[in-house]
Amino acid sequence: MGRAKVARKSTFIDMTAMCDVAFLLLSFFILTTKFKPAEPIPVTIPSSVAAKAAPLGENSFLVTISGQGKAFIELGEGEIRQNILDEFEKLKNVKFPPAAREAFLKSDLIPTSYESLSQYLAMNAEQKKKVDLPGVPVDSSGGELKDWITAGLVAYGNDTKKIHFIIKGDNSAKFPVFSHVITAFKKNEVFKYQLLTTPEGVPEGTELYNKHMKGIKQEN
Amino acid sequence: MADLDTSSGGGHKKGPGVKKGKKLSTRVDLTPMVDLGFLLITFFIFTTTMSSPTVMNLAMPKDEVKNDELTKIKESGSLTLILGDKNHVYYYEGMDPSKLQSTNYSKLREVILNKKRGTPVDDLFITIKPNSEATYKNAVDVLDEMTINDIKRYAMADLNDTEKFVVNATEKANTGQ
Repeated sequence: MGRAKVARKSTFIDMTAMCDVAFLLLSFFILTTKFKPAEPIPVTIPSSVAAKAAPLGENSFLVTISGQGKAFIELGEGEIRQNILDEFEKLKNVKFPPAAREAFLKSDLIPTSYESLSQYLAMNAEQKKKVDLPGVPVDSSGGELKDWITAGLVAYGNDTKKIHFIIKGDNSAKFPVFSHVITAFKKNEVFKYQLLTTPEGVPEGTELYNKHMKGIKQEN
Repeated sequence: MADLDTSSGGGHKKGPGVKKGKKLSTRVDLTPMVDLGFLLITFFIFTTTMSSPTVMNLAMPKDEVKNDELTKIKESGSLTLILGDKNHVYYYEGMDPSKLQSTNYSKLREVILNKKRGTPVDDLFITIKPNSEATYKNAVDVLDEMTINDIKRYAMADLNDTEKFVVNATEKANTGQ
């Protein structure tokens, strides 16, 4: 009896193409990922519905408030460090030694009062990690932070569009420190601030949500 | 494409008794490799924080203002929020701090919306007063709530002595319970 032969097909699927795709995607993701630069001061920032991208970058003047209530200044890369240092020296009538100046241009953080700044700058990376940073002095009258802000303003001709003042506060920082930082800005006639936050979704059913649904753009 | 033809070409038949050399396939099963690839992709996607930080705008008034520059607030349209410690919020309507009521952050929106519904748009004014125990997050949350609920007029201020006294008294009473 002749039985009709059914051609046996192999169940083997060629995975080569799929493998290619998988690794292509993988390499794409790896290459496009920008690593977050290591933060000298670990801070968890609050979330908000604000949608404006942070102008972090060249001329940013970031005031960081740590959870312990200390204030630090982080300067963006580029000329801003040089400019601010020059103005600060003029303002306080001090001169930093050349070695400290050079280190300052490479360091993004001002973590102490200016008296002990050269000492901090002279440390190597290992020591910097271990040391307990006291923060830039700031109190109800503005403290030294006020002078750094003045230096920043003078260096950029009082134009807050050229120098971006941003406040980055830790969730658990107490309010008084924040208000001291604000005071330091107020004494320099700066009344508009930008608070760094992580984006969060707008809760459904609220007015802002309805606005977004209608396509009205958020003002800030 | 990647498979090589390993069969010895042609229909050359070996005679009986001649052992067939076992044909070894050069085909490699790539399934586990694909698995691995996608696993890594998933890992990278989940660990990457796509969102870059945003900024929230905040404008503060000058400390020294002349009397005629002061913002006039209608008593009926005023709502004062006092941010206390341990995520407590106290609030009162109008100008009388003794009518203090207590709530928390999850119910705050309700309070604001209630006030908003019962007040003409131009009269509504919310004053935010964080006390010394409130955290930065609390302040940002409340400011965010202003944006969410589309409150046009609000300000941040410090507590006055009456308010401090009333809040202290309320906190004491709460812990005593």
